[in-house]
Amino acid sequence: MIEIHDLTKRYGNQLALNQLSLQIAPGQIFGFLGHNGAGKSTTLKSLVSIINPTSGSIIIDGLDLAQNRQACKEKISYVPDTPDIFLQLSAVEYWELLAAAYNQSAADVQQRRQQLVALFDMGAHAEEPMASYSHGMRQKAILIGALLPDPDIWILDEPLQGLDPQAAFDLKKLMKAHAAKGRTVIFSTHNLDTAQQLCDQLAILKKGELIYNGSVSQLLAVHPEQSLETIYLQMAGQAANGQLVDEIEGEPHE
Amino acid sequence: MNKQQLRALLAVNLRLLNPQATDRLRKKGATGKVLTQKLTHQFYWNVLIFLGIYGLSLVMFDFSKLPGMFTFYVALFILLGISQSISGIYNVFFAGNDLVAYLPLPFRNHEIFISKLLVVVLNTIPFTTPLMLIFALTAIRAHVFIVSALLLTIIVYALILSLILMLCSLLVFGLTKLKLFQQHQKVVMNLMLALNLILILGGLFFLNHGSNNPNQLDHAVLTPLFPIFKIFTVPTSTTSLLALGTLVGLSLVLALLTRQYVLAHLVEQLTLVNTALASTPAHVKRQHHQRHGLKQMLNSYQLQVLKEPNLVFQLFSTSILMPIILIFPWLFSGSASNFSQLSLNWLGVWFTVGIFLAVITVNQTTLVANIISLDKMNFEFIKALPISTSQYLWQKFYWGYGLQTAITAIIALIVALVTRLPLLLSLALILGVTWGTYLMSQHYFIRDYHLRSTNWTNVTQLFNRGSGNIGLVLGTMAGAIAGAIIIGIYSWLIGSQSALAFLINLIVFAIIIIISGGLLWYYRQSFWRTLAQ
Ligand SMILES: Nc1ncnc2c1ncn2[C@@H]1O[C@H](COP(=O)(O)OP(=O)(O)O)[C@@H](O)[C@H]1O
Ligand SMILES: [Mg+2]
Repeated sequence: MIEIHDLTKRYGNQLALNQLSLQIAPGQIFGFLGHNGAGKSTTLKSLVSIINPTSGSIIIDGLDLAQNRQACKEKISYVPDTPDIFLQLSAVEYWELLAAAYNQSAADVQQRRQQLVALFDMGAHAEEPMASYSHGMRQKAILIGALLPDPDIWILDEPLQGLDPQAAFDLKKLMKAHAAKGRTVIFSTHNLDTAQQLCDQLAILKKGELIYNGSVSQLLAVHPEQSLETIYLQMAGQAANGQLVDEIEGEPHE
Repeated sequence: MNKQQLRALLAVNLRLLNPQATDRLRKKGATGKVLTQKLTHQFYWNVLIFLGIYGLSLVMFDFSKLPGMFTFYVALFILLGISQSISGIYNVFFAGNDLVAYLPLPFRNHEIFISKLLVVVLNTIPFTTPLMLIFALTAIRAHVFIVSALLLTIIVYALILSLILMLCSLLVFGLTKLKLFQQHQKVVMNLMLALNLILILGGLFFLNHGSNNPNQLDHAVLTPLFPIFKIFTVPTSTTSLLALGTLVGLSLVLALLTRQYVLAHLVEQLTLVNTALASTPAHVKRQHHQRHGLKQMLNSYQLQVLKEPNLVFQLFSTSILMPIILIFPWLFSGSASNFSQLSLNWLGVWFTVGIFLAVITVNQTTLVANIISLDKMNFEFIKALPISTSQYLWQKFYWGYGLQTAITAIIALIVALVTRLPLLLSLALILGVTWGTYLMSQHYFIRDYHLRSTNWTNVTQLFNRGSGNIGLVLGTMAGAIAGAIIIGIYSWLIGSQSALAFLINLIVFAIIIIISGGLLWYYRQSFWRTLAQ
């Protein structure tokens, strides 16, 4: 169980996240949805101790995160919003580092590693430095690293970004299976189809404010006959954009 | 402490410290443990090479009879150690910005700290190992029993090294606690790096000043370091025991302070610093200028890239350090330090000195040799835009060259002032620097183009491209030796054949023109023209 209380983050004068409060129960896939700059990554980075919130608190399984960093980190694995980290390491070295971080020896995770490598088809270049990888390969390498130690909570910041359809499909299946085991998956996306497919619970952020928190089906039920896209754009979108588009490209020629 | 985690962290940091060596070894098929081992061997090599270079000159002194010389060199290497650790700590903890990647992982504070500090140690050791040589040589010449001599050497060296490291950690991390720092992080960081530079320059001047006595063989003794001399000449004296005790005591106190003030809040502090350093404050809006055409806009972009001041200071400090290490012993050697009486016959000699000064100053760690890579991904993107790449690169080159010349000219000015060089000869020296820097900058600029790296995270990764540290040291040494020989011969000719001075200068001038012309033609044909089409 993760509880977020009045989480606020300021960068200088800018309010990136304002008084966010919500709860995430285990056994769920919880999605954060929102425009670019809405505060999704800020929320996730607060959960994984990358940034210190300006105020507010986070409780993970009854432990206050600010007081119990180590214990909380051991419960969480994280995929950052850009996979450009540890580029000097090979994927194998990165995975070994990750296993060691979660106190698992290379032997402990060997079988799982082989399975993940086979699933994401990463065998061929695993000994080469990640600097030489394409964006998608880096994403896969970082994903394998996060899934390898298999802690309770997965926190994935736009994890499908750059993945090929096969890998995206497989990852979504893994996320569902993880939640089905009674564990927690938290991810962010701005893809509505993905959100609709995966999320048990959904939080929609707009400019640092929480504008919706509930299940996808509830949301659809409140707005009958409308697609999630229409509903989302009504809630989070900018009203004037339809007219602007017309002005920019003009009326279609016949 | 969890050994498995620490080992994993160290293996990672070793690779981050030596990306080039890592790549090279990888291509030869080294992976995992083998790779780690080979990287460790690389480090031993660095130590040996530094020892070899200094060893040759240090062995000649009988330090046991020259307490001034002893304290001078000890102070010199301590200064180098301090400067090296400060920039190392800055690099590894702050500039690298890789900490964010560790933060979500369940490592403990002290594990991250120790693994990073060990890397700083590895970076500092080569610069300070000559201390061990001095200690051991002194003790052996003073007829201290050899086993005790070696034991003392190791103990005192370890104490001094850990003192330097803890002092620097406290300094750097103490800085991050100041209110002032939290408000103006970038400015304070840069001030720190600038101070670091001033510290070493000022320190060297101070050392030089204290020893400027031509009638005496020895330097003036630096009193605070004299007890260390005693440790190695008369180890059983009261002063020696007191000195040893003081070193141990100081280390303990600093260790406690480090634990209390650095370790306890490390992650909180670093998170604060790293996230703030990585971003520009949201409320600072760039002044928006009216558009003045592409050239001006690109110029202002070039300046923006250079304004990433952490990098610039890093680059400056490395480009100044090397020549200082090489030039200062020469300046201090006494006989060579007063040129106020030289005639204009020596114009050519000083022009040549300027050229060689540029040769040893401009290297792979200097600004102009990294300036294209500072663009990171932007450069590839700019190539895709309808902008002339060669024009863009020329512009970039002139920025790098201009700054590079300014730095080297400052070093030249220092040399001119210290040696009391007449005005016209000083001018010739600076012209030589300007011209030499131009030729060298072209070479290293083109090298940066060919080796350019767009995804580095830490400047040291750029410095280590190509032949790496060893290549850098050997190259600079080769330049220095060639320079010494050529300038030696040239000076001897001018000094002994003053009647023919004009003719000799003319011949040298012709040679310089031919070589320069050849180089410029080569750079043009092999690089600039291939861009232009
Ligand atoms: N390091 C930073 N410095 C200043 N502002 C930041 C920083 N990181 C994020 N922001 C700002 O905070 C807001 C939320 O960003 P983020 O959480 O990354 O959004 P997203 O929902 O796209 O992940 C944005 O307006 C962004 O500009
Ligand atoms: Mg984001």
